[in-house]
Amino acid sequence: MHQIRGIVLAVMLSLPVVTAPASGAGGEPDYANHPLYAKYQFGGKGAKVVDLGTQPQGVPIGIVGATLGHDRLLRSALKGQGWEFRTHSFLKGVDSNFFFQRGDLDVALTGDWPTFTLAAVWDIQVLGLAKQGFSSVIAKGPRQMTDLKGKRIASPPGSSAHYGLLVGLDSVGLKESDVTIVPMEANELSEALAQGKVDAFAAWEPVPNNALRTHPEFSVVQRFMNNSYVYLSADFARQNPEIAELVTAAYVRALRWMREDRTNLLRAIDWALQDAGQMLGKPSTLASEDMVRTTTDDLLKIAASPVVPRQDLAANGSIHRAFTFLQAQGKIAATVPWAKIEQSFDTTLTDKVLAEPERSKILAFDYDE
Amino acid sequence: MTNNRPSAGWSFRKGLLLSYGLATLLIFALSQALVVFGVPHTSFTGLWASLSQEAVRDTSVMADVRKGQLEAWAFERRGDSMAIGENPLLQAAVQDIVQQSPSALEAEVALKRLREYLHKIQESYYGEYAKIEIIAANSGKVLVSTRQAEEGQDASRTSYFSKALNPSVEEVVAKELAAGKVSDLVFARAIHGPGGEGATALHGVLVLHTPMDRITKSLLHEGIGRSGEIVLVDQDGWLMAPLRYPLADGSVAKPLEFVVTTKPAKLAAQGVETVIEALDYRGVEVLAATRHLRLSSELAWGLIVKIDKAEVSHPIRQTMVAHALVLAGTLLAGGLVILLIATRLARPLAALSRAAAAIAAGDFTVRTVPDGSRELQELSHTFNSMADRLEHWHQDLATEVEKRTVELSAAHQALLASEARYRQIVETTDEGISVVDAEYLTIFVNPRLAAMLGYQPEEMIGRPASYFLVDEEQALHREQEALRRQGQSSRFERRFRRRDGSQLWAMVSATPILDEQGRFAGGLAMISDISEQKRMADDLRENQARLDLALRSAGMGVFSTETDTNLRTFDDQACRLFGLDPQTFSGSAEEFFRVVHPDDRQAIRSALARTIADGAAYEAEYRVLWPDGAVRHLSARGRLVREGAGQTERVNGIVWDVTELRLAEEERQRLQQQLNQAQKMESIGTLAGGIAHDFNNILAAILGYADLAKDDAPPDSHFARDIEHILTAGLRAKDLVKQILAFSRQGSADRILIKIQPLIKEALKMLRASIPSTIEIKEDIHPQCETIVADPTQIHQIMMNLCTNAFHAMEQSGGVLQVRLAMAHIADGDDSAARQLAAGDYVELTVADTGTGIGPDIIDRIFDPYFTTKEFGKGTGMGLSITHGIVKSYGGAITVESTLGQGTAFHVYLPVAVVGQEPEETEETAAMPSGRERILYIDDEDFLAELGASMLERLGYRVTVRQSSFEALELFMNDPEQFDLVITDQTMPGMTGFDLARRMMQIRPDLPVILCTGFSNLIDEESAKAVGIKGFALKPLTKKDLALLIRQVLDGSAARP
Repeated sequence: MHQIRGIVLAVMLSLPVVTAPASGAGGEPDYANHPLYAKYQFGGKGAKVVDLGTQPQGVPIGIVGATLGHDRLLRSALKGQGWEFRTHSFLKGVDSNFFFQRGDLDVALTGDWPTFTLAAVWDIQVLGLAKQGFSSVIAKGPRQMTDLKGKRIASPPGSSAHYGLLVGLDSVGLKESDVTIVPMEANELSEALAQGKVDAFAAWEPVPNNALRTHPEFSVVQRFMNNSYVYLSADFARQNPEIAELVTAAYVRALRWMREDRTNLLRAIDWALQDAGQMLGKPSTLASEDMVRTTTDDLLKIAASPVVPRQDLAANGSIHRAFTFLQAQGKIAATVPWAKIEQSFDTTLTDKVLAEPERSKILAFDYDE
Repeated sequence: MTNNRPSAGWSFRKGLLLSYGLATLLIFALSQALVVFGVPHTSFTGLWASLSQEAVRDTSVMADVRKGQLEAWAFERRGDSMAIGENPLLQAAVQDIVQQSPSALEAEVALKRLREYLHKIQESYYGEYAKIEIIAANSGKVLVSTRQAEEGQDASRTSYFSKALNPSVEEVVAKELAAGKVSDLVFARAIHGPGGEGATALHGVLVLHTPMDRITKSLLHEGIGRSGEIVLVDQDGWLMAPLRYPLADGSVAKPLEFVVTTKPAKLAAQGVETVIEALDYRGVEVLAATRHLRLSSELAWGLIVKIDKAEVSHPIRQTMVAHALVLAGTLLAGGLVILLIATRLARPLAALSRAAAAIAAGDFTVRTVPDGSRELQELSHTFNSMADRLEHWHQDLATEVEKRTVELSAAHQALLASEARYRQIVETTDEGISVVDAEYLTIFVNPRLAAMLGYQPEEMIGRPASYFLVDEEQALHREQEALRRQGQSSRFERRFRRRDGSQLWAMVSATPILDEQGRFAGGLAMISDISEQKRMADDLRENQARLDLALRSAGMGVFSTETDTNLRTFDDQACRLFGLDPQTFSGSAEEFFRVVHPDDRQAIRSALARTIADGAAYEAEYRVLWPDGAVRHLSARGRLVREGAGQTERVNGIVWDVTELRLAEEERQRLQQQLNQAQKMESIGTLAGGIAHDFNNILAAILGYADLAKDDAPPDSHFARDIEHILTAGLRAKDLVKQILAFSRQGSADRILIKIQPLIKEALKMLRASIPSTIEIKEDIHPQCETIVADPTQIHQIMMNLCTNAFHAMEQSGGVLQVRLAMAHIADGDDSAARQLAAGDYVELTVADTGTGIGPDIIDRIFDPYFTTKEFGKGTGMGLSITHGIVKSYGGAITVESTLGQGTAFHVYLPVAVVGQEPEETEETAAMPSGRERILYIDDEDFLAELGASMLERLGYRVTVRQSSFEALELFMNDPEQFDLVITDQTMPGMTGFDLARRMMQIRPDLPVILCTGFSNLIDEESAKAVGIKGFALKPLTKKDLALLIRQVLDGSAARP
């Protein structure tokens, strides 16, 4: 009886967690009155402001976003043309997608699912790869994916981790409806599993590593190689080609700067942690050491430039595979043709910046102290 | 003699053995299941789960270790390529050779040094690299190599060379097919150096070749169990290292020639790291851990660590086999012991069994020999005694049977002769005959009776007589049986039950049979079939009953009217319908017509006369008056019939109550009228909302320009007074629009602190003009009435509604309209008409007339929406409903007193705000403020834009006007600080004022904005203020309205931190 009471209590306690944030009509979060985003000051259409959407809790994209925000060369070059650069923090990619489609954002860094679903409905220009790393499904004790049938699995909805979870379920013949997806923000996942509010969770690094270290009883059920991308609004790039090139150069420069010296990377991580703290209203629980390792493994150690490999767009390439999968799962409308996604991956700007390193100033660095 | 010996079933010995075996097997199976699968809902998970989890963990750990090894190895190689490729000495040497065009000798020396450097690197890595080479960027030829013979060869077509030349690629990791079997893995990197004019140039490509077999040999197949194996594939599934086992068809797969299509290989190649159970390339079931390695953004490997499921489950099988062996041994030993015991117990029992069988077969001489345990020997002795007695009884019985048989034979012959005589009589008669004995069991039936009941005669013999009767006749049968036992005969009808279950009605003549001593010995019955007669009578009764039921169900009454006497016959239901007492109703025409409504009597007479005259169907609908005063609607239908020898004429028919039908019809018509009225009101509302915006814009121009002209007119001149009239009329029109909108429920109420005395007087002034002189208006307005919170327009509306109703009530006759306004105090427990109010002070408005009054039957409905007594087109039916709604929304009450023919008085109670509180200073008494701030004014209407600018400039402001929201936004974005205030119209093409304000405030959040609207369904003050718009105004605005609002917004803004 005590056990049953405990379970009921745990389910009741979990309700506030899984229902946040407030929802608008039709179950979609009420972004206009979102406690975090409602106060953001976007430049707006026509204003000479570059608005960047980043995710301080996503590693390494949050660190890249923070680095761009502290790039004096970028700010100076923009100011020379009467422009300003602003960064805006989001909890997850699907949130930044909303503001991107509203015209509030010009540049964004998000995981693969948010990137693909946005590209399906909006004209974007993907500049390059911002991450190649694993998202993981974590549960208590050694388990296989088949053991999760009928269980409650927490995940930020519409995220890379959610995508990885669906792939994992599909690999053992399970559908999304065979489990109960519990929508939850990344910073709440580990404790929810520890307290038994859910049976497993899916998240991107460094949340899983952090959780495994804090809770030895946790184990990895499955991991999936996700990508993240940096992209511009196609309209913005078309109307402001010089500004778009400056942003692209700043992105490439940020990678080179972080690769150059571990001290630089730690400085960038501090910025990202500050952003996360400001966004959450409390210190982030992410550990710097995890962030260093994840950024190094998932971005800086990738033996190539940030350019998206063309083979990923080939018939069995990872992007084409993801598109087919998400469409089959009903996450991308059946009417969206593959060409719509493919044409979003236009790396002309990145190639140009890399081909002219001196002019693009990707070899010189000047960041805030 | 019947042989009852069991022909099947288990022997004692077999049962014992089977019970023992099954119990042992059950216990074993249960213990095995617990060991293997654990106890549900406990922490004891069982061997299967713990071994499975252990196997999952082991394969995962092994896969992680091997993946780590591969990653570390690849990272080291990339580190090598970077360290070598970015070595300034090497870069300088390559640049010298490629760019400086040294002499042949110098070039040879430089190449030799470079070659030696590469050799040293190769040696220091203990064979890690099969070959190190540098390819000239400009020619694509091998410049220098640790394999000197390959120098000068063309390498420009290799994939890694062309990729390394791409400026957007820093380093390349690629696989290369080596001549032969196993591939090389290639790490390539561009070698840069100084170019012309301070720029960097690409001079060559450093290529490190590392053989795949060096990697795979060290990590594959070892230390992962008896059947374990590691499979390495690239991202397309191509096998990268040799397999441990041949394929399913026996052939051996070669690296880079075979694509592994198993599920684990696909998952690993596509980036999924997991542990799954699947079939491997041999078709064998395995537990596989998949891992994914990204060597570069373009090159990835899939690593599969797998172990056969058979090996995983081997310990479980071993445990189960051991348990099975122990069980088999236990079963065998136990079985032998049980067999010995069972055999010893069963032998004497078998001998007894055989003896008993012989006796049963008629051999009474058989005896048994005592054997076995004491109890079995006693059983044997007892059995032998029983056999002795049986043998003796058998001999006595045979003698007695022989004697009795002779006696019975003689009696039987005599009986046969007697019976033959009677049989002939009985079998030829047409009536059924039955004879029962003293127990009333049938002892004889003749063939006729058997045929009537569907039996063979012999089937009826021995059955009780009651057996052949239906259940309902049983009680009567018992009564008749009693009469027979008393010696009485009788004749009666009786229902028999045939063999097939059907009934047979019969006439029975029954006579008792007495024995020689006169005692009842049985009975004789003569039976005739009368089923046909009975069926006809039943049909007749049933038809009558159906008809009665139908009439009762439909609530219909039956009537019959004799045409010559005009006498009526009603059944009970008909009497109820007419409100007549069936016991006292005489049927006379006078008594009948007394209950019929006077207006309908002639219609009945006419209908009756028509039916009698031409034989047409009688149809009439009329009202009757019940004794309690209720009026009921009845409908009657009938026809003319002639019956009897004298051809008596009657109109026979039915009558039923249609009151509910008629009331529903009236209600439907009333609702339809209400619906028509509501639709009309909705149309007026839509129309009002539609014209309000444009009308307000027009009024804005009239009022605005009148305001400006007033400023220019000489004070106290005719011109100034004329303009004042225009302003008064314009403000009245403004109120009118507002009233129309409020009436159509599209406007909002503005409640303020007011004294309503002036409003009442103002309304009366307006009414005087429209009310005829036959109606005298008396007013009694107490000036000391306190302040209330109300919308002046709504108070005006209340007055107009109540007074208009009063006017309509006196329109024909004239009269007095009395309007009174006074204070009223409602105390706790006050039982006056306004007792639903909370105790406190109220302003009481009374509107009384001396008109027609309101009847008690409708006075409860006068506040219902759309309820009206006025003729169509004269009233909406909404006036009192709206008034009631307004008063209730103020926390007040409205009551009504009315007497038919004398008049009506409405009392409206409105709560006093706070006794002694005065209304705020009105606009009329406030000063008109001005200022010097810079204002951006936006309105798409030409004359309104011009008017706004004029008004603002006269108030001292510096004004910039735009007639397009886009132009205004562009102007603002050029310098967001150039304006202190933005005043914008809401309804504009392209971008509304609301959106314009929001976009401006995104750029400059502290910008004060005033949003003006003629009328909008889309925006109200609350939603405007929610997004930070500081001022909201409804058009038309006078200059003073505008002046006050601007200061309120600007000074409020300035006051904010």
